[in-house]
Amino acid sequence: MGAVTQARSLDELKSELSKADRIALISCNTCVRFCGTGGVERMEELAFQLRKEGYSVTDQVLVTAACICDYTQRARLSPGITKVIALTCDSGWTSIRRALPNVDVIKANRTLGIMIVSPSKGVIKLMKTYEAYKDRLGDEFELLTGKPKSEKLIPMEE
Amino acid sequence: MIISLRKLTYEDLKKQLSKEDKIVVWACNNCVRFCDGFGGRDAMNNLADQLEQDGFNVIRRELIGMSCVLDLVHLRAIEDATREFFEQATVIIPLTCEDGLDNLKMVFKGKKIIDVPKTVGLGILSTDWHTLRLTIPFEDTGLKPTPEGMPLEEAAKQLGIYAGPFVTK
Repeated sequence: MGAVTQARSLDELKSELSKADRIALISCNTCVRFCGTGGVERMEELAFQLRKEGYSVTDQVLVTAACICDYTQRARLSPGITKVIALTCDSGWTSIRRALPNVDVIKANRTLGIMIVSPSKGVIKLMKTYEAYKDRLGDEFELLTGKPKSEKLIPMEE
Repeated sequence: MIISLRKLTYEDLKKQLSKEDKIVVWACNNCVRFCDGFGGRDAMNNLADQLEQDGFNVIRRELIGMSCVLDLVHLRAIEDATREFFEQATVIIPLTCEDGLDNLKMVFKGKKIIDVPKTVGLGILSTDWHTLRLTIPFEDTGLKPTPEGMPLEEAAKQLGIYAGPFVTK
């Protein structure tokens, strides 16, 4: 299924925005939802935080799977959007960039690698990582919130 | 979606099997289905048919919605409809990503699970192409990220491995 993501901080996102921007949020509703880094609730929360700080968030669009270009190409945004924040993995971000080549697309998340999921244990586990997150291999996160788990519930195969 | 290629040819695969083996062909029906048809029902059936034609004993064809969900894999080991096949099986051939392979190793300890997939990164799908393209490769592949996406056949060629199903009809 997919990618393990972790949210960038609000300060990191703000450093790429200006108060004059008209901002659209586009969120995936697949892997990022399992990681607590996307989906309706996370998108609402981010929009609320940005608006509270004086940013102009005009659009919020939920797509089923941002890595499927057909969904991102059909996302209809208000005229005059200057920044899009992608609540997706890097793959979804690529797809949004292809769909909106004239708009600056900012990553809301970092993509660590790929996961296995255990709904019964309530965890996702990072099984293969990108170079920058090599030391995180085998880390587990609470399903739907992405909170790091201190105790490992799924043993790695030797 | 996750992009996976194939490390083996059909001939390589046969060398890892014996005529006495009781074989399960296991296919994921999610990302790998869109990896030039490496997984999914057709890839599973075509491989199983060819193995049977070549005299191998395929005891089960197992299609699963998502092999990266550990619980779904585990259910196959305990549910009445499937338990017996997996108890008997000596070999599982995974048409999955490496996550699926890892889950199979965790659940079916002691079985020979053929090391088929090479997961090379994340990619994007478009119905214009009818398949996935690689956009965010893992660095250890040496492939470069590309917003347009690299066709999987090209990625496989650069890595000296294979894309798509073992057997096409």
